[in-house]
Amino acid sequence: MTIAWRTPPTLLALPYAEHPTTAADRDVWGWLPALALTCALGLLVMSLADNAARAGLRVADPLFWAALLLIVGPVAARLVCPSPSRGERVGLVALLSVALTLVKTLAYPTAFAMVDELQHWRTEQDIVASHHLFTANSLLPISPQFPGLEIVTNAVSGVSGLSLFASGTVVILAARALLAMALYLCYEMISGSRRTAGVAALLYTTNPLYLFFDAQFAYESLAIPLAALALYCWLRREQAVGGQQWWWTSAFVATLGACVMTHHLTALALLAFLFALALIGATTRRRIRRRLGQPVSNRWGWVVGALVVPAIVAIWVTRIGALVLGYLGPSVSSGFANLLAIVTGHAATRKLFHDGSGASAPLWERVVSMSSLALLVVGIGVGCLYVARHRRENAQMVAFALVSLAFPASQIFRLTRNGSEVASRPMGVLFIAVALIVAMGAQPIWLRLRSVSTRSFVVAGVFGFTFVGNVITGSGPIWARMPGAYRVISDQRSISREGVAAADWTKVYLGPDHWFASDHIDQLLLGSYGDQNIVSVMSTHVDLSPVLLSTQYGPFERSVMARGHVEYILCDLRLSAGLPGIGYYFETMEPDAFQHTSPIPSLALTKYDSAAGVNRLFDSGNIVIYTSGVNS
Amino acid sequence: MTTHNERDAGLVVAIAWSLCAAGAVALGWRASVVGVALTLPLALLLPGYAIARAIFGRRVGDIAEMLAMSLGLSLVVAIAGGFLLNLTPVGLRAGSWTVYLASVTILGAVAARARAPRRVLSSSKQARRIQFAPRQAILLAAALAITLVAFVVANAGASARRDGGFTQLWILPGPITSQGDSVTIGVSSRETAPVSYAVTLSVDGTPLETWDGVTLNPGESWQQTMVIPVALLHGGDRADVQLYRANAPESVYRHTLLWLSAPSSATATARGASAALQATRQHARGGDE
Repeated sequence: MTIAWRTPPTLLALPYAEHPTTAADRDVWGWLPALALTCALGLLVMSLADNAARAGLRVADPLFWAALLLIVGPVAARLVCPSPSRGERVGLVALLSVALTLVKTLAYPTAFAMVDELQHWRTEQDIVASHHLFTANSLLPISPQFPGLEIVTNAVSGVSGLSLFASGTVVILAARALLAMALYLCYEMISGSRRTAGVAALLYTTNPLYLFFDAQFAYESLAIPLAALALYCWLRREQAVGGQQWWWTSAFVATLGACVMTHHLTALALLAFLFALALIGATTRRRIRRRLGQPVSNRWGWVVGALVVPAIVAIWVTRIGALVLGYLGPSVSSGFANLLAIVTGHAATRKLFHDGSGASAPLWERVVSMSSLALLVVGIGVGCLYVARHRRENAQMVAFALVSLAFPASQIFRLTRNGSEVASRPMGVLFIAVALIVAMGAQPIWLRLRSVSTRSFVVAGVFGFTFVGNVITGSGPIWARMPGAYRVISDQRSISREGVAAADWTKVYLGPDHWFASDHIDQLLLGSYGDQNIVSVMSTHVDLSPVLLSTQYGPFERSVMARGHVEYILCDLRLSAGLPGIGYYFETMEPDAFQHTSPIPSLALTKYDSAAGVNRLFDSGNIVIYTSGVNS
Repeated sequence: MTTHNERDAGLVVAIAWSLCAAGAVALGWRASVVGVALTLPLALLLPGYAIARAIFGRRVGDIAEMLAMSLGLSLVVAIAGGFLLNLTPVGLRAGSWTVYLASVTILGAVAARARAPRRVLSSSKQARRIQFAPRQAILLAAALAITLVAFVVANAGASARRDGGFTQLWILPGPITSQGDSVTIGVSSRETAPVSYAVTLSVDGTPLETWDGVTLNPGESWQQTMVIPVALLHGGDRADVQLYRANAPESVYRHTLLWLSAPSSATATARGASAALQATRQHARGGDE
């Protein structure tokens, strides 16, 4: 295979550029093929770990961590070395990104399984069925309004004939490869160093949501790579001169537009990021450009920064502003309210490292998680100090340093019950800054180690520790990391063949688009596999949880059901076997949500058997489907 | 040294590839190995490559930057295309996607060719030829093979049955006739081995029908439609269906019930399902997996 390779002119123009060593660039791929092999072996071990977890074997957990370290360790050690060529570094970060994405795919290799995946799968199915966008989705009403991911998946599935699952997996893999390359290019442009760029792109994988959440078939998984590319286009246009500046501006606007159409929070986080870049850049650009001998003229900067970017976001958000506010508003406001209540002593903090059923993480996981978080915070501090001392004339670096400070600030929301999820969602964009600043801070430290092998060993060790800690932080309870036996209301671990078959049955025998009441998991199955509509606070603003938790089905309960136009009720009798892993059975606002101390009474699930006028249409042992017995 | 003609070869390949991919879709080769190999780049790489070449000319010459821009702009082209196709009556279909993506690629490549300056662009100092050594190619092939093995292992694990199996029993109302209420009873086995069942139907506690020796293999279904005579209906009656396993006849395995001839909305709701049932009614016995 032969390709053309050329050192980018921007890199050569930068004062901090590390000019290529001839020997390195002669062997462009270097260790990449060998490290691809170690990554593949890591994936093989991961597949064995997943199978061990499915069989309930205790060896699954050690195998899981061994597989992860086999994937990331050698790549980390190599990226720290001074010898790899630019091509090898870019290849390594892309390889690592794809390999870590496959970790999630190996856990659920046959179908979408994560909560968000099922929600977006429904939107995708609606597009396939109607050949048009914006069909209402009761599982996630905001999803059809941000259809970027579903559109690309539809294009791939349409032209290739692959299933939606296979197409979605291909799209996510492509997006993650793009993310790695775009991040590397951004970091290289700002730092002027290939090694720093490689290490920063490596550090980005310590984003707590990187391994699972941002690798799933959900809108942010595509929006974050688009945001990274938009950021690169923005940085590139600042380096460009003449007509090229206009073309890079066009590429930036197009990429930003695609990002805005794909995910709301990522677009808003990117907007804030760009605003910081524009603001700081405007104050320092002229002085720095004069010193570097670069053109001072940058009239498009403020036009783009102050007008175009907010305009794109505003147009789209205004179009569906109520929906966005309705979706994000309650979580944000309750997060702040919860934080205020904690500060004023009116509420207790969320119990960290405990799942909704009260099960706690092992001590070693708590220690590693908190230590890695502390390492990151220290790294940000050291990095900011380094930037302040040595790179304060680099406006982009200063902007990244300021943005990275939002990471420690956001961690306080982890103590709140409702705010942690919202605070973590923009992490994909926020971590773009964190990774570079930590890399900048760490670089002077590791360069003190004279021996390259010692340096690689130490850095790979520290990186591996941080990576493991943040996987623990981001993946949540142990049961969320690997497949396994059924658990009560525990996201992907609650998806069983029986539940899927029941949802399929409703589609075949009842027909699609009926209104159902059910628990959190079966809602997802009914909406995705069953093509049904769900009555919930999110979709219809009717809270059925008091009815579903009640042990009687009297006039009050029937009136609530009637208000929600409920046609059918699906009851999963397994719910009474345990506490919900995520803290609630039906709605986040249900009575005793996140504080259940005993499982839901079985009578609450079987009360319809004795209710007059309620038909018991379906029974598969654990799952029973009733008619609601009310006018709908 | 990279020459003008060598660089234009990329554009020619992009045009040829998109035409081949469109041909593959037209010939119905989608979902085949060849079809997927031809069409995936059409969706994820070629439109972006052509546009990147058109708008940046040769200045995006570095492979990392070109690859990132090709991939990223292809995603942007697809997202924009989704909104555009949504405005058309045809909408988002295989044919419209193929025409759109191939058109963008070809137009972009033509525009790139038109913008190209007629001179040698890359100096030998900046451009280099890079090849995979045989050893590296072998390592990459081995990595790919091991990754495929990992997928086979994961698929085998995910497909293995560990839940012990289950059986579905259902009852759905049919049309009301002058002879009485009709109901449809169904059983579907998702057990791990063949199972023999007995199904009983009773109205207000009075046994009406029993089906013994219903043996189903995993994945098979059984279905029966019954008319409950008017003479048995007094208003507010209920039909109970009970399913027994032949090896445990003393305990009810599954149970469903349906209120008959009741003026309540419950039956009306359930009867709404009969329309869907008419369309999907299966034979009395048949595999469904």
